[in-house]
Amino acid sequence: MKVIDCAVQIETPESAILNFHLAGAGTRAAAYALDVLIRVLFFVILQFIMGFIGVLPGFEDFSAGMFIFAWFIIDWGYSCLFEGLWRGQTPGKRALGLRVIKEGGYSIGFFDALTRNLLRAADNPAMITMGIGFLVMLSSKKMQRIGDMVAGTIVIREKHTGLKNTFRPPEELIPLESQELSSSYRPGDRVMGLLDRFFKRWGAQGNPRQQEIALQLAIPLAKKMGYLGSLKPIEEDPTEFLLRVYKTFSNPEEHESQDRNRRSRKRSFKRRGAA
Amino acid sequence: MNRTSFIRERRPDWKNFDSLLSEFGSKKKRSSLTGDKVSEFSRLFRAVCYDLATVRSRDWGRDLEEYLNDLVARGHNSLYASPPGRPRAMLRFLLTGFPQLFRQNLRYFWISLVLFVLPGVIAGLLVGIDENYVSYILPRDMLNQMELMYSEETWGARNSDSNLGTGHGASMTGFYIMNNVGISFRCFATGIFFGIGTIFFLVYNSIVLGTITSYLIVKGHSDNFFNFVFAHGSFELTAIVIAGAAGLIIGHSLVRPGPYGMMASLKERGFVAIQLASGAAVMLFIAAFIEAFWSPSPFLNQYLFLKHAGGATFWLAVVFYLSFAGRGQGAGSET
Repeated sequence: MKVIDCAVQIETPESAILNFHLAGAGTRAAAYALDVLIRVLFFVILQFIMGFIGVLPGFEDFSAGMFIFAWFIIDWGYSCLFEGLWRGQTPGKRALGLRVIKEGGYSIGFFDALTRNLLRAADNPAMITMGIGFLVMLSSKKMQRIGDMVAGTIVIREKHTGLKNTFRPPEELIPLESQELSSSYRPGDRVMGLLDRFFKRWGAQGNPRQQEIALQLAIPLAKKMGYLGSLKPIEEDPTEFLLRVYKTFSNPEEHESQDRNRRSRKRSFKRRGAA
Repeated sequence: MNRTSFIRERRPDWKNFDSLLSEFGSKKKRSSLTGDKVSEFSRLFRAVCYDLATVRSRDWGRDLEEYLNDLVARGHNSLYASPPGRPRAMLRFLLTGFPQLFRQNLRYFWISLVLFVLPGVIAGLLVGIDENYVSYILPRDMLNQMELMYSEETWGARNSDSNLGTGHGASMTGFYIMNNVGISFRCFATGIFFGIGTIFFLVYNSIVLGTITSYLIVKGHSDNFFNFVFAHGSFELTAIVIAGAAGLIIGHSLVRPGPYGMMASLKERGFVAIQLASGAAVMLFIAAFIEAFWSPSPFLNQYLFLKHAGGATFWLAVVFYLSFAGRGQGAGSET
């Protein structure tokens, strides 16, 4: 389970469990390819500049020397410097939303960046040891290269999420009446959270696949609540039923409290005042 | 307490924490943080940790959980991050930490030294006994090129040719850095294969160097050769041996992991090794500049006494630096 969804858990000294999503081999390869591309670009630009300087009399050797020196810096230093200075990100990693962190969950130091990138000499696919580094990475629990293991680092997928608004059901939908339900069961926060996620992911349109999944939820839910109407229309359009359940029991206050935008919050307070 | 009232109640704290996080994140603002703010930050951090546990245990939706997880992760990052690398810390490492660490791991240095010297001496002796052995070890082209490089004609031409001044030096610095630092890093990194890679690169480079040296002596170019390499050899050869020692440390940590297992010993010893290797890299930078500007200098070649005195000074400097720098001082390394 953990291997499949690439989650890794870290316990902080405050006893909180932190979840991180490990970056997969594909994403990391893409980030690496992007970095290689950027480095090639650096080279081309460098060659242009040094080419121009090299034309000046007396600077031929100087420009050649600077070129090799800069080549060295780009070759060995690119990843070390970027990861050391950008808290574990190279431009390629930043573009793909990846970050290198310590196994303890905090950001890496300069020596960590140095370690994991100098050891690239050992697990670089271009070496004779071709494949060893890659195999090690695939067989390790935390998707670590050899360099990652020595430095004690992992590469994670990073996303900064704001607190999203909950799903808003369509206005024209009719909520369930309490006469329609015979049992005292009402969906709690867990079911509502599930429905919220379900609609956020699929929308309210009710495409065939969504209907299939919704059916699994709608019938047990209707039975549990003691729904008195016919089950036939529910079987035909389970999504609509779930939407009605959602609309009935979702707390309208929640939408307002979760509005991130202050202005829109003000407006909704006004609306409530008017109602 | 249900989800809605929970969010309503806790949300202001989350927002406060978020804005404090960005203050902690930027260097400029961090230096002007007051004590109150720091204690407020740690209070909020613990509160958010608690909120995350609450949300998770009650299963109040993945969005909320991810949002709080993100807040806690960033807080954790700010509180426990390793200190940023400062130029002063780097300087301190070079002046005291690196030589201290070198002396703590002296036996690896001796093994690395033997590996780097012995095969070369044997190869050199073989070539000295019978010149034809050379063809088994190195390609003729390379040797011819070497011979040409140190022959009287080239050497004489180089000394009189004023064009080969600083410009030539710059071009060669780049090349030497590229080549030697590359060799050292490979020496170090391939130690991960239980030390075998390190041993291979040390022995290989040793044989190549021993053969070339011996061949040049046999051909009678030894004066030019030693005049050239004496000075920068101090930093360069020592640095390669140190990089080899670093690789051996990594290899040894895998062969003899000790009570805590391979991964733990690799991490612990790997950190020592990387510090040694980066110190060696700095030494190679110095070596490259000597190799490009001092060793081929036409001026110094006219006053060989000065050149040798300088070379001897470099050697003494390296020996004294490694044996005495940082002695009797507190730990300068980060271990």
